[in-house]
Amino acid sequence: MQKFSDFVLKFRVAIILGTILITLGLGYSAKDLRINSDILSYLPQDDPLVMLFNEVGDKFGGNSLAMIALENEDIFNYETLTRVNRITRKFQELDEVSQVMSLTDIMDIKKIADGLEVGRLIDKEDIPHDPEKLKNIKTYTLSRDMYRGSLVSADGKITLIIARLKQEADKVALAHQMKKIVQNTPGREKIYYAGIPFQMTFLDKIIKADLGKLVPLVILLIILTLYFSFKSLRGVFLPLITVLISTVWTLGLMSLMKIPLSIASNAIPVLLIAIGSAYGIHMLSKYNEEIHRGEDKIQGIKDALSEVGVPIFLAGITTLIGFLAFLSSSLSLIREFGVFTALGVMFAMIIAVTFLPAVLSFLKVREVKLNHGGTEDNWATKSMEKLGKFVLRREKLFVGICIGIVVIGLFAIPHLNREVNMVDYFQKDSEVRQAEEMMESKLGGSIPMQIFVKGDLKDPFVLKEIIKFEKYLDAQPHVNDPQSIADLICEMNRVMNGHATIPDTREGVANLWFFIEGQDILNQLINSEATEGLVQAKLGTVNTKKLNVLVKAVDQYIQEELNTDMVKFRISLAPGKLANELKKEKAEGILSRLKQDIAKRGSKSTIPDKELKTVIIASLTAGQEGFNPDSVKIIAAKINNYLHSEEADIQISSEKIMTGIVRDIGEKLQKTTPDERDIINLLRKNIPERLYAEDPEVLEYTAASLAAIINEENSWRKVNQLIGKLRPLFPQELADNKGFMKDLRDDVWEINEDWAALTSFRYTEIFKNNDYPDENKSSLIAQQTGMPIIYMDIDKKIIKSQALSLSIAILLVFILLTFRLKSLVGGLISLSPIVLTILTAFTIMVVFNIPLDIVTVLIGSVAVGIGIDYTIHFLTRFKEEFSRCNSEIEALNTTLATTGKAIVINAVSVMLGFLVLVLGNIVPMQRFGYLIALTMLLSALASITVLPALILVTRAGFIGNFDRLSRKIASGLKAKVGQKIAEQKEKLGKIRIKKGGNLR
Amino acid sequence: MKKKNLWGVIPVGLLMFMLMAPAAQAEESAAQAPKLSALEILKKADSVANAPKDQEITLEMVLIDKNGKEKKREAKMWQKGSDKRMIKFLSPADVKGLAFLDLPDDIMYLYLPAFKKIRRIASHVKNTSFAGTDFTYDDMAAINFADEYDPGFVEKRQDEEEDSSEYYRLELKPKKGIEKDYSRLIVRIRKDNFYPVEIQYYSKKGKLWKAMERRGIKKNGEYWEAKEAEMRDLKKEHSTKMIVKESKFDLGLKDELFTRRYLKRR
Repeated sequence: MQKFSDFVLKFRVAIILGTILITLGLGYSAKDLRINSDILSYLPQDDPLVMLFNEVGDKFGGNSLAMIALENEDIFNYETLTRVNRITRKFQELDEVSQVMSLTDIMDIKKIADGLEVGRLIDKEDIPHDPEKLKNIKTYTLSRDMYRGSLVSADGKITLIIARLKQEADKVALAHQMKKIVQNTPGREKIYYAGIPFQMTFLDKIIKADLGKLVPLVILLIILTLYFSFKSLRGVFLPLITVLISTVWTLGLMSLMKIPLSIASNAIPVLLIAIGSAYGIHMLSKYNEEIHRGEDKIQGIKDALSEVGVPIFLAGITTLIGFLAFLSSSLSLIREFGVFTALGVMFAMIIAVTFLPAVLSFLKVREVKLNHGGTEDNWATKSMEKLGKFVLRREKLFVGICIGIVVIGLFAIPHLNREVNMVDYFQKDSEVRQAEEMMESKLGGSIPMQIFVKGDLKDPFVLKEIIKFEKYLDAQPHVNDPQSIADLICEMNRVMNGHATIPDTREGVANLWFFIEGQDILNQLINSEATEGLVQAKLGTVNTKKLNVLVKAVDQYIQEELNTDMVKFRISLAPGKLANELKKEKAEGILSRLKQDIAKRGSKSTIPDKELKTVIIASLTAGQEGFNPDSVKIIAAKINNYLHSEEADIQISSEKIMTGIVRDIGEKLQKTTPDERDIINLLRKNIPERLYAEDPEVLEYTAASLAAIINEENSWRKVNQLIGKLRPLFPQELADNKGFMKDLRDDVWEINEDWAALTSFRYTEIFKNNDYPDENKSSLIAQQTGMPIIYMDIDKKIIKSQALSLSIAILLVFILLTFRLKSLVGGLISLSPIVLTILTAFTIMVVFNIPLDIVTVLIGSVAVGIGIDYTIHFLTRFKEEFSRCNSEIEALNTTLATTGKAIVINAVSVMLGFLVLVLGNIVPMQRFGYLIALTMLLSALASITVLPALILVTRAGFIGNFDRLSRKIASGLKAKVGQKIAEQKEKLGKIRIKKGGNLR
Repeated sequence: MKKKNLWGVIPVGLLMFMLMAPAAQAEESAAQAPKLSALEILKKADSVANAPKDQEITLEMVLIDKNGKEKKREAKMWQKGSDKRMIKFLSPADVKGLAFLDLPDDIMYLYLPAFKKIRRIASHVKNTSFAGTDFTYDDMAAINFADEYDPGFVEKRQDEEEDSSEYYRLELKPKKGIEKDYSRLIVRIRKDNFYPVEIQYYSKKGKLWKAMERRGIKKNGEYWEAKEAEMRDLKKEHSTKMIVKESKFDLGLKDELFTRRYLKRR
């Protein structure tokens, strides 16, 4: 160390100049430091979940949704809709936006009398002024499930514009641009910005604002602390410049290495300024002490440097350990925080022992008064004495408390709450929170859950399986509006055929599919080959715990319930007995979907499963009955219409012939359902041959058309009959629920379908063979992705980071202390204050429901790194005093009065530094601020109470030879404690003067 | 030309415009003095849409996604006059028989073979894709550019190597009061026969958005026709080729063919 101090003084000019140059250089680069608030970018990019998430983003037009909500008394007015249109169009012009959806740009397929109307929900070229027209649009929009509660709030007061951002987009920049666009469109609507891109811009803003506010505050605080400690300009200036330089270096280096500030690392400046000042303080106070002892300037610096160098180094090393332990984290955000804070601490250390003494060597010697003997000092000393007495008398109590804390702490840890959602970063009254709350309460939520599916998406049974899955999702709490290609097909079917189901044939699906082909929305739902798709559902909560439950439930469904391997077959081709078995299977399927529909509506009444099943099976196995007179009338009218229309495949002008056909078919219908062959015969009987001689195929066409009319009527008849039988079995609230009755209709429509599918396992079981053509196989693979599972991944990684970094920090500190104390027991005992501190902190987190988040995850290791210093200081002094003093009380009191006091003062000042973070706007950072402040206080207190108590109880050998002392004061110690202390007071005073200000 | 076309009308309308040009008129034009105004050139190019009395075209549509993967479909179309059309899909198998019938006054019918049902379709959609292709209804409906756009000549750029002796290049801007998704079009028209061989569509922001090119322009009997037209959507990175497999003109098609009855016929 002597050599080092010589070196510093020899090259003092070079050191000063070098430091200034480096500071200027790095300061210049620090101004380019960027902020990255994208939490996803900190996840390991080779993590399978992240890879899948990115892959899905690439395939389906991007993962990020930026949402604008406009609120008004009633958004269905010309001005608001025009504004929606303007914003929509401007967004569409942005290259990095892959798709925009809003009221003024959404395809709408309406069912009309004899067909369908394809159009836009609202024609953007012709937004109506007319209140009547607007009212019609409103009524229609709010009547449709696909708009109400997702694009427009149910009360018609809020509407959304949803923009999907391309994967490669600079989300923050783009979101800024979008915000500007919105602000530049005239209108009086209240605007909400929701979705992760906007959350990122807000976060960006508050990170910057916090830096601008908190850094000056903490500097001011340090100046005040330093002024009260040293009462001199240099006392303020030198330690301050030390931390400022180290902060500039750290930030400059980050900028040089193109590492942006994150939600965690934005604490670095405040942190460095708060903890880094200690090194300068140590150096300066030692120097003052030396000068006070009458040494000359240069010698004073040399002595100070060689004496204080080692303790500074040691304290620095443990702090470094605390921060470097974060290197074990898989989240780069936490690693970066660890590395750069460690670097900053190192810089502060280096500057404190190089630049600072070099500058000091150029300054005039100034007469310094050592700060002792003041009233405050007396008060502090007295309280320390009392504490010493107390500890000594109640050592067992302290040990008991320790055990209590450990037990409670270990019990509490598993109950630690976690929060990883970005919305949680913002304060309750912030714009982001308000937007999120509005989204959750009015529009189903802002975070989509996504399920990536692979399979032939034109296969009816793959689609049916997806619908079943969506019904399951919809029945889960907090899940809203599941959507996929399957829903679009159902919707098309509803428009074409009146029931929102997946047709049972490939042709049926393809016919419906044809209409939506090429629509923009498809790019978000399927790939161009229709072999991969996305099921999306909005989540009405951002609570990590609830999301985790949901994510797990969905994964479990995928694992256990989803049919990944299916075999299709036609029930009509199966022999009678088998067919009945298959019909039972079908009834099971219908029932399970019905149950999801019931669950979705949260009905608490019990549902008579068995009866429902019996009724459904009865309907499936019922033989062909004749039609009742009413049905016959309806069909007859339809056939009559058909024959008279241009659609008629055969042109008949004679009323008599047509009446004959209608009558014959009607008679047949009363007995049975005629097939095409029966109908051809009836036609032949009625139609003279000359009408079809030229084109004999025409009879087949006509028969097919008539059969289709009859079949459709028959299907509806069966479904309505079944509904009629099922309805009384449901509780009243369901029977009266229109939405549920529609779902019921769609669920039971399947009784009309001949094609069915079973899992290949069940197929083999029932059919007793696995002999089926390959084309009858359907397979579906599903994987969960989207923000919820990513958040869960982050949550897992946070827990892992916490456990790993904390263990590593504690282990390394333990090794270090064991070596330094040359005692295993010593190592263990010295860990106790910090371990107790952390356990207490966790317990407090559990009791006050403070979650572990992306920032509070840091407290464990940071507390170890900084807090262990107090233990080291205490032990060093106590050991020294122990060897010198006559009794452990004396040693303890001396230690407490000197180092103990210094520890508390130091802890309080660092604590105040950290508490500055509470004044910021980022919630996790606030939590971090007060939690780390708490740990500082706790670890300081534990170091001066629990630690000595443990040493005294265990009489641990690493401190010294207790037997030596016990011989001296073996008898009646406790009874005479008071007296002893009084006796020692005198000695103590002397010692204090001799040793005063060792630490401070 | 405010006609609201839908499913069926468009491909035919488009084909009329993009695949055919009355040869006689084109040759006559070529013989004339080249000092024509932009509007005159555009009108001549438009007049290319003067179709034969009727026609029957077998056509392959190739949809190409950004990874180069292709989807093919085949359809047969009949047209009589300028307002009666029928389109029937021949492949892929699962939409075989699916057919559109487009009649005057925005009447349109659709036949779904899987459900054996005819449905009437009403539509107001002009700027969305037709059946998965890169052509929007509006792209296809704009048969007479001169009615909707103001033309001007495009100055030849220095870096251009194109032989200006072969083509006219016109810049088309939407007329006042006519709402388009495009800010302007650049049309390249052959000087010899006034056949428009390329149209570039620019977005409202002024960026090239879509481009259509016609290739293999040959004379088929009386008419000029392109064997292939390709529309590329640069934003979606998707393109559609329409390839003429077979074409017959002036067949004397009966009105009876354009009825719902025939919609169902294979």
